[in-house]
Amino acid sequence: MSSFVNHREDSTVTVEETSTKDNVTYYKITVKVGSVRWTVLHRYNDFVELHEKLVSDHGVAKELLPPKKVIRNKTPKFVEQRREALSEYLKNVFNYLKLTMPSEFAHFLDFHLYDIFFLLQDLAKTLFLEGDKLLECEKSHNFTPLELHAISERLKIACPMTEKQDQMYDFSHILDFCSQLRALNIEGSYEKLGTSNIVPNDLRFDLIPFKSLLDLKILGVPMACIQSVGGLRDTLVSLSVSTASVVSLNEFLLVDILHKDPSSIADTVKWKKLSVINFASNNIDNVDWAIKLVPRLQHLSLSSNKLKELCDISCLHDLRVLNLSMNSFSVCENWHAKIGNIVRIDLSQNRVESLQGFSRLYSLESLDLSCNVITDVEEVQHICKLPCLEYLWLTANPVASSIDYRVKVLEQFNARMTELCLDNEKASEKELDTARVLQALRVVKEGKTPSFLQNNNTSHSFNKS
Amino acid sequence: MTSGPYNYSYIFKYIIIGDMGVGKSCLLHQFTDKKFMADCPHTIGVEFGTRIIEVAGQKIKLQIWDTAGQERFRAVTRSYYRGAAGALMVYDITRRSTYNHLSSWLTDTRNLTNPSTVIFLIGNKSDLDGQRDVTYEEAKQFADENGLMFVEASAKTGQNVEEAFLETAKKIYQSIQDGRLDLNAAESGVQHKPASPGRPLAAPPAARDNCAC
Ligand SMILES: Nc1nc2c(ncn2[C@@H]2O[C@H](COP(=O)(O)OP(=O)(O)OP(=O)(O)O)[C@@H](O)[C@H]2O)c(=O)[nH]1
Ligand SMILES: [Mg+2]
Repeated sequence: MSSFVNHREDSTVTVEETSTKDNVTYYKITVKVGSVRWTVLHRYNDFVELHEKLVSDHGVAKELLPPKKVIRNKTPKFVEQRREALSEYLKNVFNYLKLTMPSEFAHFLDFHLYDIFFLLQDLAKTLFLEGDKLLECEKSHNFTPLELHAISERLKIACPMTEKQDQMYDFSHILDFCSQLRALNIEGSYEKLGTSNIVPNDLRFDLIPFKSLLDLKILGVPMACIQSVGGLRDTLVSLSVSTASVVSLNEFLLVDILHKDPSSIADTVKWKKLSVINFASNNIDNVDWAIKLVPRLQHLSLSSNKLKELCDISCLHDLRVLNLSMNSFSVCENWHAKIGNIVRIDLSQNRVESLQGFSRLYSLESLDLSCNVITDVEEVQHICKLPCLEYLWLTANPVASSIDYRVKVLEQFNARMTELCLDNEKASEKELDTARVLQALRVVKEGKTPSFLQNNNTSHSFNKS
Repeated sequence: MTSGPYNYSYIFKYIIIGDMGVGKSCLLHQFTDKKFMADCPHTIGVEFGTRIIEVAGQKIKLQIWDTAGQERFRAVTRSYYRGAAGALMVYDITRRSTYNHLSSWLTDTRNLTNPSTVIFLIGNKSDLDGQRDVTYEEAKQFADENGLMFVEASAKTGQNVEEAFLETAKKIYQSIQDGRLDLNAAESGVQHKPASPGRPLAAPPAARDNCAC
């Protein structure tokens, strides 16, 4: 984005083209500030309106504007002459008002959309008037990368001397708002902004002004844009970074740390309060060691990534919920050695074949394996003794289309078959009856006592095998 | 009536200035968070903090700019003097050089602020009395000669920190009451907070129920 106060001498305003819409002639103004450029369309009457204000309030000479013409003002020749005259007019006025840049003129040229200083003036006014209400009533506030970039840059430059302004436009109001904000959303874009050559996702920003942030959601912003997370390591509770082409968690967790090697990482970079992480729809293929920097993590969601294997994250003692749906898991070996006290796992839409790896996740209450490639109903044997398991999804696996699928699964849970919710449904009385029959048959076959005859004692299921 | 954090009638703008390492950022932190940051990094450019206080029954929000003491940031920090209603000028009682530089800080302040700006001198690190390099009397005399308010304070123990910020606000508030400070002047550093129609205070009960917080 542009920084006019630093490029006053490197800025031009010209009228290079005209266009006609609904029989009205528009003059296309091209503004260049350093390497940034944009265009603005105005009709002649807009120039007249602007000119009146500039004459009365800013000492612009009255005769500067090319005169009105009532008849024959649409001929190509006339329009071309007027274009040239307006271009000359703007050039002169711009040179004359460059130093003070009154807000009417800045708005006429759309500086408030593309320039750091003028965008922030408008933002300051909004936040002065509305900020407290927003803080109280909004669930979360959206800032664009453009605004964040402007704030970061503004903190680095000396405040420009402009004409005396109402204090409403003071930059403090923005920082005041930021320092109190609790939930922030940032949505990026690779599309050029408006008529300019500014690409939001090319802009760098930092998050230093956000002193009380609890919840941060980043959507489609590349991590390279973020230069510093400021104090977020001490305050942030919930983090979501999605569709940002992130390959590894440490791209965010260590975004402002130069040497991302584990041995040189100090305790101070730990995310002290962070308990919910969602990195959905990225390109993560490995949960790396950086996850250790989030010791309070309870809820990890890596849905829609490129994971094949789970690394050892048993150091996360508080981890309870793990969402790994839409990845590429196939073998899940010995997960009890990799994750501790887990309560919920979502592995839907993967390529899991066997349930063996889950057999000792004793705290598991919910396991979603829908849309995988489990074919053998006997796989359930591996998890049927998990004492807390209450929710199981196997729908859209090959096994789910076999005859008597539900009762064959339920039967394996012995006395707990009444508690199990399979594919969102508890067993019906009819299913329970059939399952008990199947179980009796299994007993005969294997020569064991069916558990539902064992006085409903639940501790047995550990000892049995 | 709510008395939440959004209910206040004035905004006062402050700046904190003085040599590097005198404890400006620590003073701000002690004032806004009631904590001492032992390993505070040097400020880069400017920092910002707010707190709402009460003076004579009026709620006032302080917007405080904490500036970097390092010379290389002087161009940036100078631009924040403009429109400050209060300036806290800090030296370190254990380092004489920081005291000797006060006259140049004062010149800057006088040049860049307006006549009604209240300047408050703080001799910080009063907890380190054993290493004292500047006596109370000497600094007090300097303050009196230049018409400054003055305390010795400690960002570490919190001693007199509250007082410095509050006394400054009282003085500013007094100037408003006396009519010496023009609220409408762009550079006064004081703003009246209008109770805008959309504010929660005035919102009908139904709208309040929709609040997500
Ligand atoms: N003992 C003691 N140490 C203090 C006190 N205030 C600050 N310090 C220490 O002094 C050092 C500098 O404090 P800062 O607040 O960073 O100083 P500063 O004025 O903001 O410095 P710059 O940002 O570089 O201008 C830190 O190591 C603090 O721990 C105090 O009241 N007592
Ligand atoms: Mg500092």
